[in-house]
Amino acid sequence: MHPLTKVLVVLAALLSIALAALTIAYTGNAERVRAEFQSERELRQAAQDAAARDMTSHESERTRLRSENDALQAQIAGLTSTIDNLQREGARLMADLQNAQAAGLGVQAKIDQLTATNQTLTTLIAQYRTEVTTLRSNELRYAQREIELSDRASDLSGQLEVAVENNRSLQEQLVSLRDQLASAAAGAGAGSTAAGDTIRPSFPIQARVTSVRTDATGRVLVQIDAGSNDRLRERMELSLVRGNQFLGKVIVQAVDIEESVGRVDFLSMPRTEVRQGDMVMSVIQ
Amino acid sequence: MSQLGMQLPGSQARRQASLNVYTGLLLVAVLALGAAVGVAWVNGVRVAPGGQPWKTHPASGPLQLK
Repeated sequence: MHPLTKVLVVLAALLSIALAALTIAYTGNAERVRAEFQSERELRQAAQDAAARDMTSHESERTRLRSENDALQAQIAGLTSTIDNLQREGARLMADLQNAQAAGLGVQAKIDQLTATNQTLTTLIAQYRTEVTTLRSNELRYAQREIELSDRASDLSGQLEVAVENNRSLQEQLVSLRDQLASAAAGAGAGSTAAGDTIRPSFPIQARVTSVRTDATGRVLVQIDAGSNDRLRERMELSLVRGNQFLGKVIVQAVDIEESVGRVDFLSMPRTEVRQGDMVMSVIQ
Repeated sequence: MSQLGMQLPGSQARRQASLNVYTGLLLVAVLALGAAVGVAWVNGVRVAPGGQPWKTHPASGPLQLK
């Protein structure tokens, strides 16, 4: 055998021994690593399952939190809107407050002005009171004087009325005498109306004809708006006039409270139509 | 006598050993074993505790890889 062959045989033996040892150790370690790897993989699977469960729970939690977050965001938005509204309301109230303060200052100024005006008016009223007092005393004095003058005028008026009545009475007597004289001159023995049958009022009477009619004998009857309240009596003799025209005499035949009826005596004058509205008075003025 | 290495005169001359095919096969086998040992060494370093491929991990306890 060649020495090289021997050397190779020895080397092959040594390498075989070393390979066997390495293979044994490697196999044991590999098995141990594989078991450890399996264990770790199971642990990893368990960890993944736990992580998945946690992820699921976290997902639900995150969903819940997201919904809560959305709700809170909406609430925040609402609160922000409310805050904005409140801020605007506050600004408006502040402006109103400033306006109210300005108005208060204006009112205060007006109050001061009115106070000054009140003082001025008080002074004026005091002056007016003094003046009115003086005027009242003067007016009272003038009224007393007017009363005295009025009494004096009444006295004079009464005297004047008496004189006028006397004058009227005299004028009527004169007219009556003229009528009698004319009747006597005409030869009429007895008149339709005796002078002694009538009464001449001694007071002034003025009434208005309200209606005119004719009785069965053709005599004209007039109704006037004066009666017993005006001291009219039956058989009183009144004058019937229209303006300044003397129409005739009215002999009162029936007297009521507020009205009377009388017969018209045209005397010797031509018969004139009596109209509603003609005046009847006690004397010819 | 030849077993004692003695060369006696007149004896047949001993032939010198030569390389043959078995030597070549052994060479190939040695090379293959060397490559296998190298590969086993490299991979054993990776899984052996402390980077020593001759050692093995204990039955319990944590792995001590390099």
